[in-house]
Amino acid sequence: MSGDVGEITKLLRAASAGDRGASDELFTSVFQELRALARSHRRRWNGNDTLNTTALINEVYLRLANQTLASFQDRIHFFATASRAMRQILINYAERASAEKRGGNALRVTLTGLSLHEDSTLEDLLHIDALLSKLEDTNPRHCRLFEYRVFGGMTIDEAAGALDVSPATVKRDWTVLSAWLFSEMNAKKASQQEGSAS
Amino acid sequence: MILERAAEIFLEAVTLDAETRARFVTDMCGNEPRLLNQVNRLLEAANESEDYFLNLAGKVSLGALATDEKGLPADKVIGQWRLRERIGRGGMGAVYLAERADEQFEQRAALKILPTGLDTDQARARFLVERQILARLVHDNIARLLDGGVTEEGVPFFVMDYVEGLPIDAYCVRHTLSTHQRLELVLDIVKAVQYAHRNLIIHRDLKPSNVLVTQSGQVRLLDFGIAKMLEPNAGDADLTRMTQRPATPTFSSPEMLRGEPVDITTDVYSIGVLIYLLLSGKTPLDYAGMSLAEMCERASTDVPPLMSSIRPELRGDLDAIVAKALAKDPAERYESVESLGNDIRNYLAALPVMAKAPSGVYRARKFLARHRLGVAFVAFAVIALSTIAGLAVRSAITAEEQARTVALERDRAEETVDFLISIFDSADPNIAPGEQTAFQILENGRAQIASELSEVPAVQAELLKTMSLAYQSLRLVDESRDVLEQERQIRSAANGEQSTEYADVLIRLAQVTDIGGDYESSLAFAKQALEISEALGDLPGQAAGHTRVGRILHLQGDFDGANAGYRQALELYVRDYGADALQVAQTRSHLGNLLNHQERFPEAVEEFEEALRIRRLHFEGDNSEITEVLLGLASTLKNQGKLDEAEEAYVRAFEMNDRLYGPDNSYNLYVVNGLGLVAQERGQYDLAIDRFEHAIRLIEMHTPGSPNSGFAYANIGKANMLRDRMDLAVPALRNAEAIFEARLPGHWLRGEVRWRLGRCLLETGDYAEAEQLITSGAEVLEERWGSDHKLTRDAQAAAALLHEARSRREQASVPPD
Repeated sequence: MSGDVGEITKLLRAASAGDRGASDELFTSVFQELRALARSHRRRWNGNDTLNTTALINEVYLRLANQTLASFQDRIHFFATASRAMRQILINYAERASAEKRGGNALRVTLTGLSLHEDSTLEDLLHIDALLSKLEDTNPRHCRLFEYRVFGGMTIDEAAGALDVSPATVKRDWTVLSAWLFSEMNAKKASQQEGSAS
Repeated sequence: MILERAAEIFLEAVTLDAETRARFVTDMCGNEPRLLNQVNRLLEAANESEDYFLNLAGKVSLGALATDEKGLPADKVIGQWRLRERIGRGGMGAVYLAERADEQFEQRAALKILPTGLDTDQARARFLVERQILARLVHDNIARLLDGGVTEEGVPFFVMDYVEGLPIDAYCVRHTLSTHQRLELVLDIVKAVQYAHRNLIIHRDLKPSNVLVTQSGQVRLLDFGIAKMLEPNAGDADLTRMTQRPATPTFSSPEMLRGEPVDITTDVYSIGVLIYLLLSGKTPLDYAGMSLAEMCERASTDVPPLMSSIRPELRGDLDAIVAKALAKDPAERYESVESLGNDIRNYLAALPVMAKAPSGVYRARKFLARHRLGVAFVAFAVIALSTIAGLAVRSAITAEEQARTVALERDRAEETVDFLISIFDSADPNIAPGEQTAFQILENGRAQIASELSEVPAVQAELLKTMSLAYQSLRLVDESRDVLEQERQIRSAANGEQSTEYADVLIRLAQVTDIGGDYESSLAFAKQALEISEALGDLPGQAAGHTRVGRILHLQGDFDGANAGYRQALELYVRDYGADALQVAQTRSHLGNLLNHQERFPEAVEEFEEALRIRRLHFEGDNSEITEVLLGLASTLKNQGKLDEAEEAYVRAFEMNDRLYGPDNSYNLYVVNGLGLVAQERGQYDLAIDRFEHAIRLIEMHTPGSPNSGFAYANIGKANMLRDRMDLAVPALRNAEAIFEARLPGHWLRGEVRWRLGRCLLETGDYAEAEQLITSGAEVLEERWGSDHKLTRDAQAAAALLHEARSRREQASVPPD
């Protein structure tokens, strides 16, 4: 937990000004705080393994920023960073889980008292990550939008603020983007089923 | 990839019902099967896609978050070390407190490890570079590398000395070290950095949190996380690029901020910033809220204020040493930390230092150029030129002559400063010309005036009068007052207390104490001057006295008293000099401001317009006295709700100041603040806050630490309340309260700040503090403005809200029968 109240604001400002060092530091704080928070709340969420990402990130925000963030932009920048951190955490997890599965080891989540997730969700995540990586070159704004909405739990309006475009544009982009990604995933599943059937 | 046209057709189609949709899609896609296929696939997916993705993260995040840390539970053993709690984190790794696992002997250490989730090739390479650097550095003032390796999971780590200490700035404050002792600590930093440089390593991130001081007073340098090895092939180019941007702009050299290649003088610069901070308590340049481009601009062009402008006792050698370390051009800095260290040692041994202060005359000219008559403006543009106008009164006969005399006197004030400086600068045989600061020169001059001119009190008094103006130009209100007190004693002895000269010095003392916020003394001086002038039958003197008294009563909220004072002054001036005299314009301008505060807007506008008319008779084109009236006029128009006209007047004043003084001049801070108030009235709160922040930047640039920033923060707080951002209002109002408490504890605006802060705290349920703030704030306003004033009524409304909230809470806590 960051003890210094002004520190996060400073980091946010420096990071949004293009300061890589500050950006890394901010990312790491958010990353570690997300995990620390999840651990400390594990009992409270026991038996219910879905988690409200928006609430979680909000809580991280409150803990790190201690309600003193100066501007709307700072807040938005924080949530953008959190989205990125969340994407990395989830993708790392999915990668590790599928690697352990390939290696014949059962996923060690049982140790934490959680039920196993459907394999398909983890595979979906990896597939989404691959699709996003491809999209990164042609349409980075769509990638950010997806991160903000899915991993960061931002609303349409918040995402519009973060991307500096109108909410109407974000709404349109989001509808097209999610339909496209979903259809790509459907297509892949269809082809896999064909493959196993033949 | 998504086809542009497919996306368009799809977006249109989703809004249609099933039947229309099929027809629409067929029509639009015609005989393009690929397009048709994609649109259909998108439409099919659209049913569930959004919900699926929005729920996706939640399904796995708990599992991911809860297991991702598996590498590092407490008590985890890594190599020979057992982890305790995490004690730090940086961009490049987490740091844990660790103990020897074999427990053969007790040893505490700091273990740094790459966080699991950040284990990229780049981060890993950077991490290993830091380990390599530490391995090379063995020095008493640098945290030592003890051990290193790779965990079972393949994650690299290393172990360093665990340094139990305070950041150097906190240490100096905690132990209330003297300047001498602080410099001794700086010499230890110099030793450590010098050692690193000899080993071809640049630290690049010297800042208080990386320089700890142990309980026993030993300095330890930490965190070589972005340090650079100077030899070729030390790290690949990507690493350097990645870490080139510093984590802490305040302590980074301009070339580093710009992302240019750096050499060892970048560490010289950072140590310069550390010295500045340790000795003056402030950092040289403030980058708060700036974009990187703005920071680069500022770092490259803005010369920080001398430390002696914050703590006058640091003037001379220390100012010079820090200025040399902070030179924009690396070639002008000390060529090594070693030579910086040598100069510090020279200073400590009272030997001459290598660094020289910039030329006094040059500096004084620059100050004057920037702060031309600035002090008159500082007291919120209301006082303006009464001192100089007062000087003119005695010899002037016709209006035309008066105008000339006023202009002459004003030019003379500046010329005399230059003249004084040139005399004193060469008068001390021990100091070659051009080696002292303006402040130093004035201080020397003061001593000389006292010792060498005691035979000729009239000259002595004239020089002291000029010096007080010079101090005012440098915004040194206390010194200005000291000098005037000296002048008063001389006048008292030479001219007697029943003289126009004595009354005149009292008037100027009244002005200086008013600027300093000491209204009580100010009023006493003004009243005494008035009595003397009345006894002497000196009409202009009486007018000056009435104006001053009116001005202070105005500031104290006695509007009727102020009004009477101004009216009497006006009558006397008109009788003596005619309706078109500059003194009349000045008094009308004061009166206009008063009427504006009294909410008698049409009368206020009349006074301002008359003042403008008179001043235009005397001054052609742009003039600071015209912008001063424009400012008052604009404020009145704003209060009347004539926002377009107000904005126009502000913009005219802004442009005129820009032409007169160049961009970012100190006068425009009032204009920018006023433009913020106009935006606020229009409900454009974001714009308003931008402008208030602009005003704060100007204040920090010209008069850091001035109470004016309290007013601007108060405005930011209010604007945030108006846009319902209580969370953002609280820190701004706390800032304002702190500034008022320190600088203007008795100002009425503090009352408003306090009730507003209380009102915000009500939202967070902090009733005790809220009550205290609202009650005391409302009291202040009632005392100043009376219970019927709008400002008081707003505060009372907040008090009513407080009672309501409290009684609701009390009712809620009473158990039902």
